Amino acid sequence: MKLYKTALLGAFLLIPFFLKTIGFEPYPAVLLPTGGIRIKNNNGLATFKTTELSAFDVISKKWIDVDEGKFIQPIPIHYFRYLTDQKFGLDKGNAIAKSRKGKLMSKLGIKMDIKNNDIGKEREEEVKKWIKYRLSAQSIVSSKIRILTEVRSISLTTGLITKTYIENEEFVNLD
Amino acid sequence: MRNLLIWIRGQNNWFWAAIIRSTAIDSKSLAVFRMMVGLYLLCINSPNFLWLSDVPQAFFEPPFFSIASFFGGFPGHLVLVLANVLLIILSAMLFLGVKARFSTITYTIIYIVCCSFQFSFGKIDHSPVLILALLVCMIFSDWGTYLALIPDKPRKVNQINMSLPLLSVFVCFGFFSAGFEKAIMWIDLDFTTNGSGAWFYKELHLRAYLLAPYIPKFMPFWGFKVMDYLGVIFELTPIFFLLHSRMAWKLWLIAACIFHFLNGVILNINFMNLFIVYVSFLDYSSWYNSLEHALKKQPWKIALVSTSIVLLCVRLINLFRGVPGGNIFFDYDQKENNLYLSVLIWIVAIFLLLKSILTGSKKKLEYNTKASLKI
Repeated sequence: MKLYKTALLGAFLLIPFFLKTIGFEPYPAVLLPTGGIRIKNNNGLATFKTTELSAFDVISKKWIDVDEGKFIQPIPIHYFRYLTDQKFGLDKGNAIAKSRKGKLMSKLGIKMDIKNNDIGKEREEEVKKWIKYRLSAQSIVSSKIRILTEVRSISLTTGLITKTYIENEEFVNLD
Repeated sequence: MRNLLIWIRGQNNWFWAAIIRSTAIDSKSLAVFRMMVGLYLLCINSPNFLWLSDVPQAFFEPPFFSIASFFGGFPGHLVLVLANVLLIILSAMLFLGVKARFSTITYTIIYIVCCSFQFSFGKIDHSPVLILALLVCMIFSDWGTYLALIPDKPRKVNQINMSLPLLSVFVCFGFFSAGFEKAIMWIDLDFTTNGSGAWFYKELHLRAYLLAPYIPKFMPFWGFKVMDYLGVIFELTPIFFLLHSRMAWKLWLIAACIFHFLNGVILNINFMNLFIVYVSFLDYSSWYNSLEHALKKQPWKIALVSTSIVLLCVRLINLFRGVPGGNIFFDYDQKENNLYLSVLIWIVAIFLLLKSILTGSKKKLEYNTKASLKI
């Protein structure tokens, strides 16, 4: 292969790699998942953050835990956290602020112009209708949902959850 | 300056000659592999994008550098039906060898565009990356010139086949991109922290099959740290194996298959998609002779066409029934069965690679001679 073609190939591979490291991962690109997360063993316990969803049932007047997998069908479950980060499309600025890109911009002092944050009345209604419909599949009639960020402690020897506390909760009104 | 340029050119020639020596395979072997890819796309990895039209448009959040970012939302139902039907038909065309180069190009473009929309929920999935890389590389091959119902015209005579060398570079770089961040995050001497354990414990409710339930009880926490080291070494080193020799490259491929096999057995993570990429580097010349002989006979030809029509119909029915993409044997929700299938597939891959190492030494000399003549 000629040298200029090798150089082009190198650019084709390395530029997306660089963009990914600063939070602007392009698609398509030849990049595989890193999954570079860690846990710490604290006297046989490890802690994790999870995202849970509950809905306020207007009939029983109670908060009911939602089965996330069934709720977001047909969307694959691994997108759940990303959808809750943007409050199901109703607050995209929230998702961007939590992303690597958002954190980098914040560190650099660059204010991001989030053009998509105002999604318009029609799209907002579509989302709320969709959420209500998906909840009704689990026999929940709801006017409000709650996105919980929970911190769980897991025993490393038994695998059992020993402690859970709510770190953050966000609400989405459906009416 | 001129001397430097000459030296760089020399290094470039050495680099590609080494890679060609480790990977190049003739077009007849690639023709067999093309049939395998067609069958694989029909049976194991047939995507379904139809559901994208049922999703609220407010969820649309494409990456900044993405084809989907040129659009205002998810495509409509009719467009997705057309794209999915075309993908299924093109898979069958690849299997049968009907204008394979055109089929590969069209399949790749449609797949990339559809994936761009699917990855517009704030997350890019990396599972189809190497399959797409494989298809892109095969556009530059002659895999449609043999064992084909409507064969492609061969490319220029004596032009060396760069498809597999290029794919091997993509595989090495892909793994490097995965291993680099892991190395920064995971490699230290603190045995109270690790990364593999995070994968295992974070979704412990999914780790219910094969050896996974026994891991918390029997594997010490530092065992995950050892897995971290081995994982990072495995992901950062394929280029050295590739540059060393064909045998070394195959040994790394076996290590990759064992890595995915263990991921299935211990972590219950299913990496079935990558199977076809690893077995692309095998030499199927001996299969070619048997297949060519069989396909000269009318009944075998009819059987081949009938098989592809049956698979095509099953896929189309599944598509319109709303069955998620994936393999033809088990639903997406049947995690246990899918896991067993993936474990079986990795055992087959390990067997094929081991067999090729044991029988491949005869071919080695021939490829070495060819590579040194062309570069």
